[in-house]
Amino acid sequence: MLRRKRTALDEFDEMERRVDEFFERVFSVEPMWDMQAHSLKPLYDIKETRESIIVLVDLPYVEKGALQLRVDKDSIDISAELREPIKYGRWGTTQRECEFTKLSATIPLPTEVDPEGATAKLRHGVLTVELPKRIEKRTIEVE
Amino acid sequence: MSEEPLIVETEKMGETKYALLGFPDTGLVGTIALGYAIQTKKMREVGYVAPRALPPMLVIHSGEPKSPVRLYANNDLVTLISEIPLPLQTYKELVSEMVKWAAQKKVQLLISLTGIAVQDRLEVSKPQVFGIGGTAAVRDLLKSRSIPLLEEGFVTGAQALILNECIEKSVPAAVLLAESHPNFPDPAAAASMLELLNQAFGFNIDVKELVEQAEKFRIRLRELMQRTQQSMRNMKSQEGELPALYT
Repeated sequence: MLRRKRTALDEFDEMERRVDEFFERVFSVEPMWDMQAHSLKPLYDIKETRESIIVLVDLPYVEKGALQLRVDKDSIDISAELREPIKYGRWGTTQRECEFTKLSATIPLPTEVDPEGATAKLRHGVLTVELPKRIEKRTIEVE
Repeated sequence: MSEEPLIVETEKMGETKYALLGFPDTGLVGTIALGYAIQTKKMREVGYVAPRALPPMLVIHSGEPKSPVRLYANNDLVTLISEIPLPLQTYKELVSEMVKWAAQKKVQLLISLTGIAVQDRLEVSKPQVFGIGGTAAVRDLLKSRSIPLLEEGFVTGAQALILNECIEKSVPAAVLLAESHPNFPDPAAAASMLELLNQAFGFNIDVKELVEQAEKFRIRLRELMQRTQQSMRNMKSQEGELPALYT
């Protein structure tokens, strides 16, 4: 049987699997993949200013048109189809073949936001979502 | 503590000109750059760090249990790469042994590869690489090879330990830092790093696949990046709060 030449990417795949399994077993952390849903969880980072919450999501291998974004007052839902399925030859301890077709996540926000004022842009595979904080202000009369 | 060395050579190594180190940290720059270089240069596995000095993990390659921190060699180049993020306490012992080993091998230049977090990374089309030289002679060497020096800032964690230990043991050493995403894997930064090494030291590592497949590398390195961030946060809490390393 002909075998495909191993590439640098194959090596990183195996390294990634080993790290993931090790941390799951030793520290019981949540996995960043869902085999049933063929979905991978993206990395994200949340920044906060006085006025807004800024969420950065790493979404490589995704086109703008394949991205669905839903904003609620306390979370954002992201689902992004990958340009092509990502296939893994030997996944997990069972060493099964499997493939993933999307990146998806529900990201909880640290404070309530106004979904109507949200803006989003995708640049170099990084999604930036800016959400104005829901700040209720009122004037207080000083006695 | 055992008297056995922590750096175990499975293939006897003589003197070596360059030693490159890559540990998982900012942007996974060192890990990506060296992991890619080992593959594309078809470097031989020549040793490992004894697992007794590391967190309780062995990796299984083709049925064989191995240390997650291993050495690879090719001509006048030795690389040391870790597949897992390490806690600060582990680095303390490991770095001391590593630098002792480098001194025995009469390493002419030890280079540690890492990332430097830049907040506006999305605006940077070609990440720049900066150098920190342990001695005046190394700083002159870096300047002569057109590597801009990091003039002001902080270096913390493993990189600080490596530099300090090399200065104490008189091992010529440099830390190279590529501008990188603070919290996402950054293959483009790793490619800039390798291009600089090619230009400055003639390593001749073809970065074509790394550049073309950068997005796939980013997908595949999510978990390692997440674990590395957790490890770096723990390290920061042990070090005390310092400003991040910015130019």
